[in-house]
Amino acid sequence: MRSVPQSVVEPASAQPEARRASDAVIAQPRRLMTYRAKEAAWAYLFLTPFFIGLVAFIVGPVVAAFAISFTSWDLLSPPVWIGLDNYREMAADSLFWTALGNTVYFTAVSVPLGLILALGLATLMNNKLPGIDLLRAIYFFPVTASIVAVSLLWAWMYTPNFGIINYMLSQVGLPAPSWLVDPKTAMPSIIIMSVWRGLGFNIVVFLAGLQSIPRDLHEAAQLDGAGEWNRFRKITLPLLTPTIFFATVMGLITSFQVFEQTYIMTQGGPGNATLTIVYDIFQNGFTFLRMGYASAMSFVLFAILFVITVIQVRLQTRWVHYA
Amino acid sequence: MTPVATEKLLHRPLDRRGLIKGSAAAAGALATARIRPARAQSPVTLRVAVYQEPARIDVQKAYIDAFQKAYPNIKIALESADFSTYYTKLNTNLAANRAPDVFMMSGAYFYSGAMRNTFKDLGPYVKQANIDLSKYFTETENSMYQGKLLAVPEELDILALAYNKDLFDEAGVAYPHGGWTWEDILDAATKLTRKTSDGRQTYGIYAVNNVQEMWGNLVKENGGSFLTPDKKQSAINTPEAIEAVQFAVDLIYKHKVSPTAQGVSSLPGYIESGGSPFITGLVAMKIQGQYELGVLLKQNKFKWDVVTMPKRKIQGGLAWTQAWVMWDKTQQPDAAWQFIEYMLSEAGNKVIGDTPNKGQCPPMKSVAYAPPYVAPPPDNMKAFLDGYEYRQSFEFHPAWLEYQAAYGKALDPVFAGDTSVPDGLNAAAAAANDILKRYQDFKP
Repeated sequence: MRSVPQSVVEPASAQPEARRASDAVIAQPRRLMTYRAKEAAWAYLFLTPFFIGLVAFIVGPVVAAFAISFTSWDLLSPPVWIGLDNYREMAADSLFWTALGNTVYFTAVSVPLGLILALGLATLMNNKLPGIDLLRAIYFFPVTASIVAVSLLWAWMYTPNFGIINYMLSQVGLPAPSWLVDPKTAMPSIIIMSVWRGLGFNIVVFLAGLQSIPRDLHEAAQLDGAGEWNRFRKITLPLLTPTIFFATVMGLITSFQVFEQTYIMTQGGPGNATLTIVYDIFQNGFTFLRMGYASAMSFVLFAILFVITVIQVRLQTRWVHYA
Repeated sequence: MTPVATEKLLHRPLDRRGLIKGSAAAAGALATARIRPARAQSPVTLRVAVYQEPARIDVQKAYIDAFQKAYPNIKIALESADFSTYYTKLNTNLAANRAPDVFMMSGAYFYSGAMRNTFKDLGPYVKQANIDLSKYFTETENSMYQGKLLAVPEELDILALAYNKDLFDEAGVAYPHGGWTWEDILDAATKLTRKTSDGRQTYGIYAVNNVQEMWGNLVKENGGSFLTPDKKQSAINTPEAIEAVQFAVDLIYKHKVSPTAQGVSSLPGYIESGGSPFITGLVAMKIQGQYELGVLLKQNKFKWDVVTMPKRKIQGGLAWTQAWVMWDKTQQPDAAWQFIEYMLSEAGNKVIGDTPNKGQCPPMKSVAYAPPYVAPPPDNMKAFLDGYEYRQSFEFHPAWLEYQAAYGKALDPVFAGDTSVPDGLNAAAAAANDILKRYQDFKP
C-alpha cells in the first residue's frame, strides 16, 4: 500500500503533506479535509448496511436480553422487574446444572476428538494423491448439509434393531448399543454425529494451515536426517499451533451452543441425558414462556464462554508460535 | 350514505344476502360504533390457525372447504404447524401482535393463554347467537377463566383401550370388555406376551412413560391426582400415585408383558408405523385417543377394536377438549365469530362427523352420538363416547405443560428401570413444586 495511492491519485506534491500531516492541516486545510472526508464518507457508506444489521440484529437484542434477564417476562404481558431473582433461581435450579454438566461433557469430548481426527485426516490429505480433491470434497460435504436433515438421518441410523450402525456392528459380532434411547449412550451418540459433521470444516482449516508451512523447512530437516514423525512433531505441529488455537476457540464456542442435534434427535432426553444449556434456554423461553429466565441463562452462557476464551487467549503465549 | 361509500359498495361483487346485509350494516354503522356480529359485508381474509397432525388433515380440509362454500365472502388463510411447533409459532405471533384471528387451542394450553389476556370474551357472542353450550362437550377447565367464556369446544379428546383382535385370537384369549379391571388386563397381557407360531415376539400391552396414554389414567383411577386440590402443590408422590405408577412399571420389569422404550423402538415395522407401537401389530393392547382414529383406521394389517378404559379403584380415564378461540386483538371479530359459529353449527358438525376416518370428534353431542361418527369402524366405536360419563380431569393449570414435562423427565429413568418408583415420583414432585412456586396466586 504505502505510497501507491498518493503517487497514483495525487501528484508528487501530496507526499510531503501526508508526511507532515499537522503542518499540512494548517497549510492547506481544505484540500486535505476533502480527501479524507471523501474516503471516510465512502468507508462509512459501505459500512452502514453491516452496521445497521449489527445494531438491529445483534447489539440491540443483546442489550435488550441483558435488561430482560432482570425481569419476569412471558412475551405477552409487560415485563416485571425482579432484580437478580432469575440468577438466584438458576443457582438453585438442578435442571440448569444438569444442562451445564451435559454441555461441558459434550464439549470436553467432542472438541478434542474433532481436532485430533481433523488434524490426522488433514495431514493425510495434504499429499498429492490421485483423486485427493474428490476426497476432500467428500469430507467437507457434511458441513454443507442441513443439520436438521443430518440429525434425522443419524437418528434413523442409530435405531437399535434396524439402524444400519447396529446392523454393521452385528455383522462383525460386536454388541449393539441402544444409542439414543439409552441415557448412558445418548450423549456419546450425539457427540459421534457432531464430530462427524464438524470434521470437514476443521480439515479445511488445518489444510490451509498445513499448506502455509514453508516447504524449505521440511526440506532442511529432511537433509538433516529428520524422519516423518520428527518433522511432524518439531516442524508441522509448532507451526500449526495458530491454526489449532483458532480451531479450538471456535470449536469450544460452537460446542457450548449445541442445540439442533439434541432438539431433533432426543429433545433433551431420555430423562435429561442430552439436555444442553441452549436447549434449556429454548425450552424456557419459547415453550414455557419464561423469557426473563431464558435471557439470564443466555448471559450466564455468555459469561462462561467469555471467561473460557479469555483464558485461552492468555494461555496461547505458552504454546502458540506465530512464525 | 356518502357517495364514496356507495361507490365502494357497488363496485364489490355481492350476492343478494351480502348486499342487503351490507347496506344495512353501512346504514347502521354511523349510528352504532360497535355493531353486533353481522354478516361480514365485504370480502375479508380471515387467518385461522390449526395444528396439523396426520389424523386431522382430511377433516380440516373438509370443514374449511365447507365453510368457504357457505361464506364465499370470507377467505380463510389457513396456517398450520405440527403440534410441537404450533405453540412456539403462536406465542411469537402473539408477542409480535400479528396472531391469527381464530386459532385452535389445546386444553393443555388454555389457561396459559387465558391468564395472559390473549383471548376475546366469547360470552356475548354465544349469548347473542343463542347457543346452548350444554349441547356440546364443554369442559370448564378448557373454556372458562375467571367467570369468562374464552373458548368454545372444537372437539372432545377421550381415550379407550384398543386391542388387536388377531393377537387375541392367535393366543386364544377372550376379547376384553368394558367391565375389565387393570388386573384383567394384566392376566390377558401375560397370555398375549409370547412367541407366535411364525416366530414373532408379541407383547400384551405397552406401558409407555406418557401421562395421557398410560400412567396418568392409572393414577386418576387409583384415586390419585396430579396436583393438590388447591393446585398449589404436586400430589404425584402420594401413596395412590406411587401404587399406580408402580403397576405400570411392573408391567415392564416384573411381569415382562410390556416392551421397554428401547424395546418399542426396536419392534419390527416401528418406523413404518409412524412410531405407533399398536400399529406394528405386535402389541396386543394400547390406550389410544380418539384423536388417533384418523391414522388407526387407515391401517389394514390386522383386525382391531376398542373398549372403554379398564377400571382400577374407580372407572375413569382422562378427557379434555380442544378449543376454538378468537384473538383478543383481532381486527375482524365479526368474520372470526362467523367462522367459530359455523364450527359450532349443526352443519359444521356434520361435515366433521361425515368425514371418513374420524379425524376429529364433532364437538356437538347430538352429532357425535349419531352415525356416521358413532357407527363402526371400529366395531365398538361408541366405547369412546361411553367413556365420557367416567371422564376424569387432567387438572389443567397455567404451568401444566411445565410440570407435566418435569413429571415425564423424572419418570424416564423409572420407566428405563434405573430408578425406583418412589424415588422418581419424589423427584417429580420436587421439580413440580419448584415450578408451582411461581403460580401460587393462580385462580381459575
